[in-house]
Amino acid sequence: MDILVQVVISGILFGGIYALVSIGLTLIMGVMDIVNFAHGEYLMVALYTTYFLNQLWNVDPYVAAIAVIPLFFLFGLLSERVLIRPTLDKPAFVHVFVTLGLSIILQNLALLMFSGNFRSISVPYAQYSYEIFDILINYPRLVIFIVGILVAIGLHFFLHYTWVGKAIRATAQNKNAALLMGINVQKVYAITFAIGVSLVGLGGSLLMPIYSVYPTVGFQFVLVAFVAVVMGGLGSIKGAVIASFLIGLVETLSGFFIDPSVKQALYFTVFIMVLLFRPYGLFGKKTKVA
Amino acid sequence: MARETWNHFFTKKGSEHMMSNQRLLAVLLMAMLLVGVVAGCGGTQESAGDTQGSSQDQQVKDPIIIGTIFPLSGPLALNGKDTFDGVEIARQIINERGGIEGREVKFVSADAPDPTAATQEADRLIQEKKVQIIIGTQSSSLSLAASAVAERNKVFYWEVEGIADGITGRGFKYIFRPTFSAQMMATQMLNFVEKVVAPELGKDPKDLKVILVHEDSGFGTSTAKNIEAQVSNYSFQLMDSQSYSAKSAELSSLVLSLKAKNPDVLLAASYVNDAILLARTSKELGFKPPVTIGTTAGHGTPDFVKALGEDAAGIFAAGILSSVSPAKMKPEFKALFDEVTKRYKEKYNGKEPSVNVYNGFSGAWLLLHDVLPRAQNIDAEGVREAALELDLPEGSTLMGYGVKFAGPDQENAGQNTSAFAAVMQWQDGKLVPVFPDILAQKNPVIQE
Amino acid sequence: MKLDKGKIINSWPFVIAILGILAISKIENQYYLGMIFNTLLWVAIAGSWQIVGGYAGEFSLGHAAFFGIGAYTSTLLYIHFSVSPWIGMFIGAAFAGIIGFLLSWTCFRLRGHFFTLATLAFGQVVLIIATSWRSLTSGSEGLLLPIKMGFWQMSFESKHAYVYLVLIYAISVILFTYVMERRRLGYYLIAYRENDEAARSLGVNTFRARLTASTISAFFTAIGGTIYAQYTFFIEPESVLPVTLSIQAPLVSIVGGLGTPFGPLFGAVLILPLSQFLRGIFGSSFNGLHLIIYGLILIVVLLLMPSGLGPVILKGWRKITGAQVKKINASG
Repeated sequence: MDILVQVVISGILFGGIYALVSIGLTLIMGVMDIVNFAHGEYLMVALYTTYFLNQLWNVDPYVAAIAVIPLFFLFGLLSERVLIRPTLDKPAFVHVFVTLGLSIILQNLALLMFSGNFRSISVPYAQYSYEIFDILINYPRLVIFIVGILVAIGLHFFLHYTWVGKAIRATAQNKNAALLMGINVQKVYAITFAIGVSLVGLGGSLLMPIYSVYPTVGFQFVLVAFVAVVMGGLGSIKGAVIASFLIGLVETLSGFFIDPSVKQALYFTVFIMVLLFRPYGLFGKKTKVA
Repeated sequence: MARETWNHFFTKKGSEHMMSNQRLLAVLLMAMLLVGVVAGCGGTQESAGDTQGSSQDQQVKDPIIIGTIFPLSGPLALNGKDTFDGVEIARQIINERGGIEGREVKFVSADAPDPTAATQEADRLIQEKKVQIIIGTQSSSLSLAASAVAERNKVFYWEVEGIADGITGRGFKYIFRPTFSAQMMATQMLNFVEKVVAPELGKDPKDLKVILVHEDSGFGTSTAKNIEAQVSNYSFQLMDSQSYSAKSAELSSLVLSLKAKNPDVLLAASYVNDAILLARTSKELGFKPPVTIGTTAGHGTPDFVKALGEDAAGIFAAGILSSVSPAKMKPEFKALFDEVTKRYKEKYNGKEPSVNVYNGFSGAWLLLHDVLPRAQNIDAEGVREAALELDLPEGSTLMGYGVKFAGPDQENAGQNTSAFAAVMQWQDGKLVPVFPDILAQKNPVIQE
Repeated sequence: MKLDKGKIINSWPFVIAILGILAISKIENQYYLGMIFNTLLWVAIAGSWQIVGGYAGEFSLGHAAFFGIGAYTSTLLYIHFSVSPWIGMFIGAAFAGIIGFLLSWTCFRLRGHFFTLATLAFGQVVLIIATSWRSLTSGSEGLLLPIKMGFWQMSFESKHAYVYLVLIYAISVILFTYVMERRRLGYYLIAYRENDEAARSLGVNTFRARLTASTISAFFTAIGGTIYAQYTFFIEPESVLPVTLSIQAPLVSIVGGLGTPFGPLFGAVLILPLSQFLRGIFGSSFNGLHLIIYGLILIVVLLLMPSGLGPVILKGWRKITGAQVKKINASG
């Protein structure tokens, strides 16, 4: 019985990791209607940034997040301006492959600059676990879980109760109408993209105590993030979070009870099944950010 | 009004786009031209690097051209680059010592991130650069692809790192592997469990609970298959064998199921990233088997010990020898070993070399120092015959083993039948050889 | 006069193509033959992809699955039952066609990104199955094909034979696309792509048209898998089912010009030799630099020429030939 509880808790905590990575992605995909294939590489860059902040100046990864978030906001603004904006008036596949090109460039820049080594930091609390009735709860994973939930709630309030947030939602619902209402859609897109990128930057900082960073690290996260975002419904933050927990649970439970080698096949199948019954995802309406 | 602006924005953009198509084409052509120019520079740089070595060599004899194929980009780049660096250091030292009978050794190098590229690059080296000898390839699937091209063209292929059994089991005439195969590594892991681990734990091998986990790409799968096949020759049994994807970010479920089975010995055929994650997740979830035996592809890497710090202590890694014992091996190898370490650290600002560097060096050194000088002609046929005639006793390579290649009529033609894997243990932050005796520098530390 | 101009322009490419085909037999350099093989293979794969991806606008990112199904089916039949790869090729293609039909039947009601990512997930599922079903596929250790030369074994000593084989494959795909474009199926698909509701209100069964297209697309893709397996004599999940294959298929089509029969030809001729040359030049000196340049070129091309290089080249070609005709006119 204990072990079952432990598996479930591990699954939920693991879902928190996916949630943190996919919140930024769902915002971008929902508002701008683009598939950002470079999302995983933004995470990779964030991991490297956190890593080097730690190695060079001994900055704690959680403290590094404070620097990484604004840095990635600027990074997001810049890449939106240079790469994303020129694609928005072109067919959908253009942005898909432009972001893919960006992902190839970033991966190989990392290889060229930092080599293919697997770099990790060691902080004393990294493998520390709280023990509650024989259930082990890892500290960094708990932090990710809590921050993930807080970010989701915060983003929800931001989107519903601030002017910028409302403008973002209006743009997502109907770009032309938003334009008519005097919303500067271009600016909204830039801000949305920058917020999405800075959220994945935050994710990178928080993930660094657990994972190693290497040039192709993004792929293993981005694929799952896509699944979570689409399963939850494009632009639905609640959906992305719930889907992330669902995937985490499916992955952990099937890995424990069936076989670790097939767990990914299983959640991809669950994903396709969910879409068959809900073509716009669990919480998706055609285009809406909530 | 706003809508109009929007439309205007669109149409204006569109017409501009139509008009400037030619200009864009021109820009693109310019860009391609630029690439060509840069390419030219790259080319000259490469040859400039080559001539540096020859300036010391006053003789005007023809250089010996050898092709190298390693994955230098893509997901396999880390080990590929390390192995290639080792191979390159061997070339430098040989050239500094006057080359091979006064002939300088030159490399034409290729990057093969995937099997298709390996095939293409092997073709390029053979057809364009006219090489008769190729050194490769680090990863098994790349080696299988590239060596097939070499065989078809009757080009000598020297595999210094790939361990899949299939590389030498195909009845090919021109492929040679100085290093151990997956089968030999599996044997050594199982030997170590039976001969050392069981007595140290104070258990009858029959009661030993051994579990095998492996990542599901070529490396882990072929290692696991060999362990599963050979374990019946030993007095203990495998309690369980589980595979997982090295790309997976989630290993808690695997760790929890291992914890539930509570093994004495965990055999782990992992790569670096998953080895780190496996060890860290195990600690988080309070799983600590008395003995963990990984491989030098994962648990025995510098990245692993950097990530785990103190927690790496006591973990074993089977595979490539990590350091040369001055007491048991020829002093020249100790000197070479230190030289490789020094040069690698100089090149990479003090970075510790991984065992792949030494393995690449050892293989290339054997070829350049022992095989080529014995060859009548430096072509595929001559080198092949020299390799087949080679019969060196234990202790004749940097890796400690001897050399005797299986002949073309034997089952694993081209395999160095004298090769064996080493078993090391992390002690005080260093990977110390502990098994077999000829390589051992310290006794294994096992507590229970 | 105008007619002549059209004829000249239209017949030139065919003359070049025929000369090119004749030239292949003169090439002895295995490296270039390999490059031609690879390029033509991608002409066909991208051409197969765009039957559904380009014409119907159903942006699939799971076509590696069909390629892999083709490769594994014919190889397993060949290894275990000595079925000739020629027969295995069509069994594999038919099997892939069925899978493609079922996948589309279930996924075609998903729109846009939902469809794209569902197919991406499907491709991953097939990859994982091939990796973990070790008793059937021997997992990542891969399958070595018996090296027994002969026509019936679809195994040849010379690369020329493979080049001609893949040439026939590529021509079949282009020809099929060319004909389809001018038949009802093509009209239906384009109608769906441009405006589904309008097409349906005119009584066009776009769903059936898309199902047909996607079945054919999977069928053609799988044939490439068999040819590739016979060419390399070794397959493993990462070589015949990688996600990069699913991505490169649309990429080649897009760079060449989406939804045109010759688009994949332009795309493949531009992309594959380019990436191979870049790797040959930079691969060993600056690790990864060749891919950085490749990525940059990709972005520049897409941003400046979103309709692909094919149309731009054609336009340029017409301009050159047109100018020549004008000159002749002026002098005459």
